[in-house]
Amino acid sequence: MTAQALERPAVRRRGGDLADRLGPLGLAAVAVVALITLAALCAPLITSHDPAIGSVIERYQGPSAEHLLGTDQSGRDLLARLLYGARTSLLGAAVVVLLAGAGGALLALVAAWFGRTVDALVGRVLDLLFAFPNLLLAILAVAVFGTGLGQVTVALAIAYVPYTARVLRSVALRERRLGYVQAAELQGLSGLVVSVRHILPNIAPQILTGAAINFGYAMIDLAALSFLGLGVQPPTADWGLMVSQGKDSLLQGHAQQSVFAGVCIVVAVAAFSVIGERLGGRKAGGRA
Amino acid sequence: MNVLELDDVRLDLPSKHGDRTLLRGVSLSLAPGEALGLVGESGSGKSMTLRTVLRTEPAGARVTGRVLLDGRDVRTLGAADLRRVRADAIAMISQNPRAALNPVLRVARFLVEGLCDARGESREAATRRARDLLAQVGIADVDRCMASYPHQLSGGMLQRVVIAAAVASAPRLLLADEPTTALDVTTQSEVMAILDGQRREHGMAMLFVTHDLELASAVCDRIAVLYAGEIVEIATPAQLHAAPRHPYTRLLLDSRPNIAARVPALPVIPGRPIAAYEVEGGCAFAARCPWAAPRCEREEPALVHDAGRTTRCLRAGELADELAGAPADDAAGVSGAPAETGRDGETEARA
Repeated sequence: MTAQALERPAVRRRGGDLADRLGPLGLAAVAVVALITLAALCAPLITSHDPAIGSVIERYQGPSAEHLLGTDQSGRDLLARLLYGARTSLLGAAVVVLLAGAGGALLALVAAWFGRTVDALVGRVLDLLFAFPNLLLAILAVAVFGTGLGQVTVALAIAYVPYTARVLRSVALRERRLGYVQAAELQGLSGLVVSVRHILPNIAPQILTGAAINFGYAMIDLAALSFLGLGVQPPTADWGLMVSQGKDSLLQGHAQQSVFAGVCIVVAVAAFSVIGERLGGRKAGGRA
Repeated sequence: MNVLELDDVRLDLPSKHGDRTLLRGVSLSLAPGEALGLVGESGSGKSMTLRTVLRTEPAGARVTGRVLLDGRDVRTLGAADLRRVRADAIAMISQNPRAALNPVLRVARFLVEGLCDARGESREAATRRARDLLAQVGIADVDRCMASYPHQLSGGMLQRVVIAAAVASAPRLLLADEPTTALDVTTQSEVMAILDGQRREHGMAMLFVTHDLELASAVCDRIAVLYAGEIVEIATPAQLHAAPRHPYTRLLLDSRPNIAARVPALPVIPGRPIAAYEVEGGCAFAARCPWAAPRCEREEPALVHDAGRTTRCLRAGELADELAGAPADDAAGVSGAPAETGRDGETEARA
């Protein structure tokens, strides 16, 4: 009994050496994400073109000193549209991940704290949500609330809750049974205080890992919805919308718009996925 | 009024194979400021007794009997009252301090937030108190300790932090479940001394669960010996050592290793410790008792209070002289019978 108590690896490796965990590929992914974010934030400094205004005379131009990446069917500067488009694409995905993470953590903590009936109830509700494909849920929301980035973002966030909640629930349940949580309970702390003060910090790494992985998926889903014309509405710049609008030009032999926007989506999603998997890779069951 | 009074506490745990009885009617009382040791083999129900006081028994367990804390039945408290009792009146110190502390919180946050959350103190007052408490439990470098994470501190240091947190609320009752088992021997005595000092200083009653009869004798006013989910004897350490009244106590005392005498094999209690649910009529200890008479198998002994002694043995009166004094190797022939050493070696190592 004594020996067991002493030898149990009570100190879990947390945080550790972040760079070490990410590895060279992970670090490169972080650099890519940082670059995209920086470009989105500094868009007005990088280009002087307005992403929404173009001159039809200048349509379908190739790369030039004036338009580094050329122009689209309305003569708008593609670089400007990609830069400003990054804002909508990143922001939308960030909001989805944030809401889904918060909702998932909340459900997980509630399920873990009360256990039994509440846990079972939460589990069934999640199963119900799982039954709906993400995009279908978002399309349903659009049908009810109309098109727009806000609507699809919230709808997508709800669709993502089961993924985060399911992983976090199992982690929270494990923590719930540990001595420190019981000790805190025996100090007379309420369930709310124990959950927020003690359990939440201990499941934070899994919340972050899940968020990083989901970020990529959320970007793809949002782009798909924009492509379908349900999300971001023109003339706002958005990568998914750009792929969609570029598909007519594609037939006329002007591939650059769809290709550039598509490449941006692929690179960003890949970078987020790599970060997420590197962060979660060494945790048992840490996949979202 | 007694701080704690357990009145015929029974605990049954339903399982696939029918109910399993873990406690068969435990009754004991603790006066204010008194320390009572709960001693017994693994599975005798020591920790389970503590858990009925805290209401942390396993899910689904059925508990009957009364657990009175300052005259109020803990078993019938509502959630809010139970929380208040846990915050103000009872403190628990568990076996493994490493498990009892949140690994991602620094000691300062753990102590200060505990004080703020459970007792509504202001941050400044709580920080000052936390530092005082750490100094009181013998931590030399309070600053370094406050700024440390649990994994940066030794087990002894951590148990001091836990003790500091436990006495912080000046509870009426301290529950200690083998608080030094996970520590090495030298740290053990230090931590025990601190715990004992704090207990006396704050006038807390203590229910002290341990395998270690010597340790219990050193710090407790009275010792209750548990066997198979019931108390078989309660006595002061002096009485217990000089003249145990229950055969099981006698054998426990005999099976302790002795520094002074070298023996080829430690005496062990023959047979294996039985669980509470295995008892079927008669005395629970009868099967292993060298003094068992035929009627011990049939009649169930009651806990008898007589002249300041409390014993659960049908033959207590007749055996009094035989059990007293003499070490058992010449009394009842329980010295290390080679045939019975094997697995039973565990018995005395743990008791």
